[in-house]
Amino acid sequence: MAVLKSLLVAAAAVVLAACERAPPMPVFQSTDITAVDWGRDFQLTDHHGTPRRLADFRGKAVLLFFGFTHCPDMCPTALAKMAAAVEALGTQGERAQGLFVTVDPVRDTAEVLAQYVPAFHGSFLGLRGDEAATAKTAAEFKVFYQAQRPDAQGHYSVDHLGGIFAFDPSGRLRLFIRPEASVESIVHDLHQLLKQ
Amino acid sequence: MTLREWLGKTVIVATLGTASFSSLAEPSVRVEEAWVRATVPGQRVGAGYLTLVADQPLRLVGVNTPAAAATQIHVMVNDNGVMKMREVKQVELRAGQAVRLVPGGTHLMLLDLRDPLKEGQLVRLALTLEDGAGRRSNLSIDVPVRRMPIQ
Repeated sequence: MAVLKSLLVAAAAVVLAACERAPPMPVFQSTDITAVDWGRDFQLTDHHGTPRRLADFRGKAVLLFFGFTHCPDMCPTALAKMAAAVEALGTQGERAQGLFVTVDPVRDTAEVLAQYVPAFHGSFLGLRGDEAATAKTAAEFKVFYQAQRPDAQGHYSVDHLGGIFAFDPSGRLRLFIRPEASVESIVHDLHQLLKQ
Repeated sequence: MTLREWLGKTVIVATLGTASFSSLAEPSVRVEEAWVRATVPGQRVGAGYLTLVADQPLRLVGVNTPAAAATQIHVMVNDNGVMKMREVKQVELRAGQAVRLVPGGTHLMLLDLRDPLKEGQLVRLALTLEDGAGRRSNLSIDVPVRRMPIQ
């Protein structure tokens, strides 16, 4: 009996030690999608012409948004929120990276992205690929997008999934942030990701 | 701060001069919370927002501005997370009911901007309204360019 008791105590001690060692489970305000087996990587080119993969941003919490510059309402709001959240991190903001993947690579050239994306935050990068690379990246992230038929003047819109993907500093996809999320909630979740 | 507080009490009331010879009272439209969103370099399109209250049934059937090559009215549809912008040819105004064009919803889409829209500028918007009998009238307003309040 004494042996059993000491074994139980030992087992309890092991459990306690395990609890102490494991980092606390983060509580996110956005949707936790840690378990998904997609959204692992991309191969695109940034607005400076440098090839980029997700691994290039190891050590940083990454916010990734798919959009297009001919989007007057939702896309600038999402980018401005991302920028405000990174600013709110203060010096920790250097450990966050905002990325904008265009779903309209025909109009969103590197030159356009080089003007547009850093206007929201100087550290943000615009990413683009050719049509095949764009389609592949969107498929990897389960992002639906579809260019609409141009009108008589050649104007067209692109339907696309709103929302921002967030990665932890190890490069693992962790969160889906809804378009209506507050800056405060994004800041909260970035703090959590940076503790990972 | 709500958008309403931020915009203050910018109210424009205009009686529309129609070329009508009917004995009906001229329609009057109140425009509130009108603004155009500041753009960033590289952005070729802009968005405008306003609230319209008409004293009798009218339709907003067109918008023009010298700031853009063309202006359309767009509705935003959230289709299971996929954001879709669609042009509509008109917006119905019911008597006394406010119709709000706001961020994330129906908005004016300014296409092929001639220059970036900078905070503090004024942009002239010419609204074309139509009554039930198909009579059209125009209302020109100067609205401020502002930065989107981000929360």
